Amino acid sequence: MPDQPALIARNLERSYGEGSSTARVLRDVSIELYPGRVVLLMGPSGSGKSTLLAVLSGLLRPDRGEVTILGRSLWTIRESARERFRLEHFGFIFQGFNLFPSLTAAEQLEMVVRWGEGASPREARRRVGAMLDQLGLGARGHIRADQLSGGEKQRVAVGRALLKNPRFCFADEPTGSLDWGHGEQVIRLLHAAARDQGAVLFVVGHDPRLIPYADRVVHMVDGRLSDEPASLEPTL
Amino acid sequence: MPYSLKILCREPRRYLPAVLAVAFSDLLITVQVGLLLGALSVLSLPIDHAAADLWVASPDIQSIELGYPIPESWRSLLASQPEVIATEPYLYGYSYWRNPRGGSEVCCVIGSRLESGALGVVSDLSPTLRDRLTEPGSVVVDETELERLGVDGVGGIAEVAGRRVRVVGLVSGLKSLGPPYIFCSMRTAYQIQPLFRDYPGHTMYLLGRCRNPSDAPAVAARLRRRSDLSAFTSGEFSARTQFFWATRTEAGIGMGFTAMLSLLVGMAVTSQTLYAATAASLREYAVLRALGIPRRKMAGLVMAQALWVGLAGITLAMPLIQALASSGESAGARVVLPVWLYALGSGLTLSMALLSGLAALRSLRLVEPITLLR
Ligand SMILES: Nc1ncnc2c1ncn2[C@@H]1O[C@H](COP(=O)(O)OP(=O)(O)OP(=O)(O)O)[C@@H](O)[C@H]1O
Ligand SMILES: [Mg+2]
Repeated sequence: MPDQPALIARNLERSYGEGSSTARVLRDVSIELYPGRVVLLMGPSGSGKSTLLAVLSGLLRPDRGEVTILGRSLWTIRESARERFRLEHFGFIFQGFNLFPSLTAAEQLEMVVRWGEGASPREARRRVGAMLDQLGLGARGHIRADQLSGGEKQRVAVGRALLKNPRFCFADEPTGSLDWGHGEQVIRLLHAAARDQGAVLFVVGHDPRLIPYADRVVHMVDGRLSDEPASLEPTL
Repeated sequence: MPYSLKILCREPRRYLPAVLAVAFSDLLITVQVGLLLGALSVLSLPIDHAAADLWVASPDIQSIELGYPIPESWRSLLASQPEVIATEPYLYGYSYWRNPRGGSEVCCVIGSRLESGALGVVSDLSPTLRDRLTEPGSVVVDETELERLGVDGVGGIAEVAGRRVRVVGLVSGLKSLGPPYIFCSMRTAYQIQPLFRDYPGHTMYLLGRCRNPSDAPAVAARLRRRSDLSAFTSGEFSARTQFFWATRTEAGIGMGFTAMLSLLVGMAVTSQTLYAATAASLREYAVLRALGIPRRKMAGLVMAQALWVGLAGITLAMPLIQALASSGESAGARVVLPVWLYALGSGLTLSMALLSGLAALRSLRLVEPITLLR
């Protein structure tokens, strides 16, 4: 492989609960993510996909193992440093839209650059305008989130994640609550961002129609990663 | 427009309870203190409506009712102060008014000089009335006291301390909180005020006027060095009288207590509203946290909302206070609303709103990006 991995995860372990009720959700998970590539993580419900995304993105501390991003170990630096790291490099798209209902599409995005980077109102407006155009929402910027359609809302959420040109974008079932027409729009946008900006894109999803947009598909089965879907794995 | 204000304006129903709570607290505190000031201002009416700059009285006097006769000869002491250009005696004391319809009333006899430029006479007495009062045995009362005194109006006859008196005129706005004021000449006062029958050559107060009223505090301070008298500017004496009754009657304490209660209730509602508003946006805040936006930005938003809620509340309270005060006035309650009182009410309730914001900040502890990943 010609280029260097931007994220290297080694031997990640994570469990919930204690004693006899301990649930081992991640078992010896290792993965490498490359710039400009879309990795699609699939697997049955409860298999630990969201947990892995949280550990890779600095939101959930693993019990064991290491995540190295851009040469730095994500889980040995201080919490405040990790937060700054997220600020500088990470975009997120979560299930549900999570938009302030009474703020407009443009305001949701402006808020991120103004609060996150201290951008001036003019600078924020310029960047947000460009992003909304890119999302096909150029004419919808002044509409309040609670008056946007589901597809439009999710595109705003995508815009919020991509606005700062992050080097990593983590998306947990970004198309889950959309019909396929809108879902496809969203994955296309994410795919284009990975390609054009050289971002690492890590997408959790279980819709097989996402597969054509992925450079690599990995499967999570019982807390382990595999390149094969669950049904082919022998179960214990 | 900041995000905090945008959200507030676009979701008015969510924030309305907090705005109303702030307005209500402000209204309650301001009108309540206004009513107390109104009641207290009645106590010092004779001081506030007279032209004197200086009041000299018996030692350690707390309030205008609590004077004791002092020698009228001290007038020369007052007159010898270089700033003082006029002096005169002033009688103030209680007596008994025999109600012609039966029973009797304690009344408050106020005897003063009456000529134009006199220091003690209340400015509400017209020259005609002052003229009529020079006739011995004539008195003027407030029109609202007629019923209580058992006379029908001008021309009514009664007996005070065994002397016949005749009502020669009426004034308005000089109703007392306690015994009715009976305004009369010095001469009449000496006749119908039993205390002064026993103290010839004495007066209750000595009044003075300075060439320049701004000299009065210095003169009062100079006179006060003597231990056998007390001396005040009219403002000091008025405030002293009001303060005495505010504390003596515990009206002030009771009012402070209700004000505190209304602040606490207002704070409970306001902080709960802000808390609920923040809690409703926990997922949105969690996304921002995941994106690395510091918690203090969100804390700033909550505090800014608290500030806007406070400002909206006190703005709403202003016309309500005025409406309530004027409806109170028309019902006969005196409400005094000095500018400092508006400032006090607004300041207290605004601080309350900001404190509520601080209390609501704890909701931000619930913001955890990991809760978005399930
Ligand atoms: N905070 C928690 N406490 C205890 N158990 C948890 C917690 N979070 C997740 N789990 C458990 O860990 C397992 C993996 O959860 P995870 O959310 O990673 O699954 P997933 O693959 O994302 O599932 P889905 O496709 O339904 O989103 C599940 O069995 C879940 O019940
Ligand atoms: Mg999940």
